[in-house]
Amino acid sequence: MPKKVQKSLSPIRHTSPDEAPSELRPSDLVRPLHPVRRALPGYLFALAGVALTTVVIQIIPGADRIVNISLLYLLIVIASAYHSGSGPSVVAALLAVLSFDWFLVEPRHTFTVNDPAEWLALSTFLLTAIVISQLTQTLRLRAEEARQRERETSALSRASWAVASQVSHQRTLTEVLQQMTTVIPGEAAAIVVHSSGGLPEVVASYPAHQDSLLDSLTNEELNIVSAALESGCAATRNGDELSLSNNTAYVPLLMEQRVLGVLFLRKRHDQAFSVEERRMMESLANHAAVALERHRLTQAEAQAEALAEADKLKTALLSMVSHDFRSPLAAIKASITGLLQDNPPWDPATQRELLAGINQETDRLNRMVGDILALSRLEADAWRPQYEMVSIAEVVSAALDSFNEEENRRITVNIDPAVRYASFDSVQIVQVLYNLLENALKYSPSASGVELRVTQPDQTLAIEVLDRGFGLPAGEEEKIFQRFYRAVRWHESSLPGSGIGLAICRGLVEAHGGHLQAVNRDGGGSVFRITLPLDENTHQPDKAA
Amino acid sequence: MNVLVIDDEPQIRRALRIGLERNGYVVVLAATGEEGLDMAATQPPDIVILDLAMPGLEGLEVCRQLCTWSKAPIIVLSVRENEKDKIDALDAGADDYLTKPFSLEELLARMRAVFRRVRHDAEAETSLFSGGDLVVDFARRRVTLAGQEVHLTPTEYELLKFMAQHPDRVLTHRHLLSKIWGNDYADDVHTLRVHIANLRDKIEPDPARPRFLHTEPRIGYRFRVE
Repeated sequence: MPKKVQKSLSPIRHTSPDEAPSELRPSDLVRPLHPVRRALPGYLFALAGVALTTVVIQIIPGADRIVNISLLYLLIVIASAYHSGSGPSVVAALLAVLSFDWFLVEPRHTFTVNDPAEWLALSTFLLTAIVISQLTQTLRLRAEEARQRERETSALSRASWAVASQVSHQRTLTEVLQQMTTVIPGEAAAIVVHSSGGLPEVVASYPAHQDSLLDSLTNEELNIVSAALESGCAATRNGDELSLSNNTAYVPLLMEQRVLGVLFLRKRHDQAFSVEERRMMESLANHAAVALERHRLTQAEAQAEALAEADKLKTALLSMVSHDFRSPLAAIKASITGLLQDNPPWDPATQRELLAGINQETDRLNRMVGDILALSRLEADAWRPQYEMVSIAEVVSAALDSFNEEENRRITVNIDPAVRYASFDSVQIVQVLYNLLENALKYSPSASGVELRVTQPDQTLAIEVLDRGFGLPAGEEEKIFQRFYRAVRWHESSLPGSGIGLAICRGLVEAHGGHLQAVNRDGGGSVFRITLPLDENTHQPDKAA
Repeated sequence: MNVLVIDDEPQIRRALRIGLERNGYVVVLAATGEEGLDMAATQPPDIVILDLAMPGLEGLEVCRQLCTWSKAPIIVLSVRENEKDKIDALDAGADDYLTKPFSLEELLARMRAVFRRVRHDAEAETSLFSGGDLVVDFARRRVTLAGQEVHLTPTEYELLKFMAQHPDRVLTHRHLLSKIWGNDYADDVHTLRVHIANLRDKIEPDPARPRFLHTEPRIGYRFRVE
């Protein structure tokens, strides 16, 4: 999502504010703009240092007679070389020779030197001073380079760690940019990707929290960003991955020939990028590309998982249609084909019996269709109980209505007289009761009974379905509530069931802020216990599952 | 005629009871496999209609147990597309199968065919099969089609003979292969297909629409008399 403009950029932290790293490297593409003006303090320091040394030698009595007092000047040369570089230190050496000659070498106050030995001494001094100045200068460069390497290594390792450890790709990318600006003094940096709408989108920027970097870009910069996003592959083909314009770089983030984004960097100083900086940018760009690619793969994985889940649902529905729907259909077809044999004529009672059976089986089919719809809502996580005050007894009898006489004979109902009304979605709770009762009947011998017990302990409504059936397989008490789960012992069985009924029950109960648990019953069989809060204020969907 | 219906679906039991009683059968119902076995022991049925899909004791197991001590033919019912169940049931001794949903007429027709075959098996071993233009003379090992002698290889003849001696009955691939070729070849369905195709070319008036050698997809073949 594009962010808002904020033109003022906060100051940028970096380690050596006054000495641009490029000044120190032989590989610089462009020197600082005004080298003379920059170096001026160095020359002044050299001049002042030499003058001060001369004064000190003049003031201290007898100092001028000390052999090798000229070595004092070397200190100034070394200091100049260390602080201001080669030019000022050479100037310091020359000035030292001249002032030594003028003030201290006989005849004084002339540049004339009579003694050839003095000539030799002065020349040696000059040579030594220049060599020392160059050595000091080199040493200083080495030390500076080492520091820079250390900064780069540290930046790369921090970026690597960010890529490896951060879960959020945005935080990773922000960290990468931050590390980049510790090495390359950047004024503004950003990683731009194609948004889903096809427009460039900033996923990370430096300074962080800058509302919109896109808007702070000039039109020209924006065009180059877009072009780099569009044609990162073309840039690679041309063999030039960095399209550099003065102090601004656009580095395509490539992964297997695909452009994942563009790294944009505008340097603080108007100076071009050194080879080291390019290398650093490319390396950090690779880090960013890895982070982006990982993000993309994570998304793809999530998508694949969703697809696999949808596929599983489809398979389960197909199996439900082919398996569970056949039973009622078989009963209906057998009854109807029987009824169609109208010779000899049917007696009305038998005919009615068959028709009643057909009626019940069509209801059953209808409930299965309802289950499928409920399942799709469960998929969409769109349970919205419509609360209403209902009589518990009515809800129970509504659930019992769906069973035939034979099944009803097996069901005993025990409702605590204290329990009268409760607030919940009666349609959904009827469905839960029906599913649980049907389940209990299905998984217990046809001779055994099933009990429905409603009590009211501690401001909750407890509804229990107790059976003396086959019980729950050890260790599978929770698994049975998973979608499409069927107890191992029924896998090869022909007992119809798609493993969605209990999942729907739990989804519905939890949408009411309640709990549904199953335990084995003492003495055989199982107990399914629904606990619903009675307090109306606790109608918060429970997402614990 | 006593029919024992073993099915856990009450509506199917009810529909079958009414439909079969109306067609002159005496119907005994059982809701589980165990109950079915008890009923078969106490009131020996003339035929068993058995649902393969039941909780508790599975239909297939009931079929296996019944076949060890009961001579009653068994027709299995299955809601599954899974042919393996049907094959297992047939191999375990079931005589025929029906896939749910089925019509009452279909069931009655299968029952009649099974009874006919039982009678046929009970009669003295016939030395001749004759149906339509086809005559298989088991005594002389001679096959004629509309009076013309058909030349069959020994294996083709054995296959045709075996099938003609078990008319109107689903014969699984495995069953045919182990009878004609031996147990080592029980899984070589391809060989069987080749021989059936050759036989059809030789004895079927229209091999594409076989009159005698009927295919039961993925299960086996059935030699049809009618």
